[in-house]
Amino acid sequence: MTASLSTLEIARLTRQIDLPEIGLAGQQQLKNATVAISRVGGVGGTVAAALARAGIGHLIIVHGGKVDAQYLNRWQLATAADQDQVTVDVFGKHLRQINPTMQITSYHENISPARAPILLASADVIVDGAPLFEERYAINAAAIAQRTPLVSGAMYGHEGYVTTIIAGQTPCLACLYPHKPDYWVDHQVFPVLGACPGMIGSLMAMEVIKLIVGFGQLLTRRLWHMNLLTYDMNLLTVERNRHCTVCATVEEIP
Amino acid sequence: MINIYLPYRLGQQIEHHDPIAVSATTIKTALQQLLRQYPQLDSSIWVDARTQQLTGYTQLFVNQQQVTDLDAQLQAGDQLHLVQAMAGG
Repeated sequence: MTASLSTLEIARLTRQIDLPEIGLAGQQQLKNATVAISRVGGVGGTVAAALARAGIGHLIIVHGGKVDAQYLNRWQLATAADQDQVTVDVFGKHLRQINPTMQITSYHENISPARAPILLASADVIVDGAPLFEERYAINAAAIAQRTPLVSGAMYGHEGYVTTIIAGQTPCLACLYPHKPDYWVDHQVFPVLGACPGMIGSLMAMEVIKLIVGFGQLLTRRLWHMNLLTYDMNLLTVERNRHCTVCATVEEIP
Repeated sequence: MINIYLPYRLGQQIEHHDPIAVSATTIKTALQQLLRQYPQLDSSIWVDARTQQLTGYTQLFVNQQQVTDLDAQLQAGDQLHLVQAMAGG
């Protein structure tokens, strides 16, 4: 279904419509797009907020639990007043304040191998901001199986990275990291200052917009890596693993 | 000399976040030099120190290019990055 941009939307988005890479046609593509975001915390919440401001038409947000005080140092879409509230209700409230015309579909659960193909099926682009490798591997497998581009970003402390995964074109998460670190036993193992996931999430939002509209260079076959402690920044080339248990059988797309 | 860039978490473990200079001609010997200085990193890099097989959550990059062959040659001035899997959000 295609809905035209309203006069109010054009007024709100005029400064980015001025960009020759976007224009009215690109803005219409953003309005027509559906983006699924798994976990909408420090990384995923930054992506969601940026995409809402950018005029994405439909967000699917997937996140279980309630808002806890320890999340408030980094979650863009929650405030102290939201503590103990259902996460997706809070995110929906703040997202609608940013963009009242955006469609939001909420799932109050964390993703699993069984549910990932169902929850992510209608997405044009998938965004992974999950704090557990089990969820990340489930999202990766679903994205490869349904051939949907996946923008993946993660951090630990002052370090983080972003890459875009496209079946047959790029390495997938299991190509790069076939095993999770032993120490990553729950979602509380990583220390975090809000600016770091904010930076990772902002870059991921840019990548989603470029994927949908189709401009600029993408982080395909590249891992953008940063260490904010030292300001060591790198654009690292990455390759498919022909022994990958998830994507090795997917035919190479030049 | 080869400059080795460690993940933030490993830098925390050895309380040293700047690049570590080692003298080596291959990736394997560079890692061996690193672990001679900082043996506490051993289990974060090798699955098994005897077989010297990398952990499945570690990727290596020489001058920003992914490298999987630990016997790959290094030149003086090369940069070796270790980037480990993260899931923080």
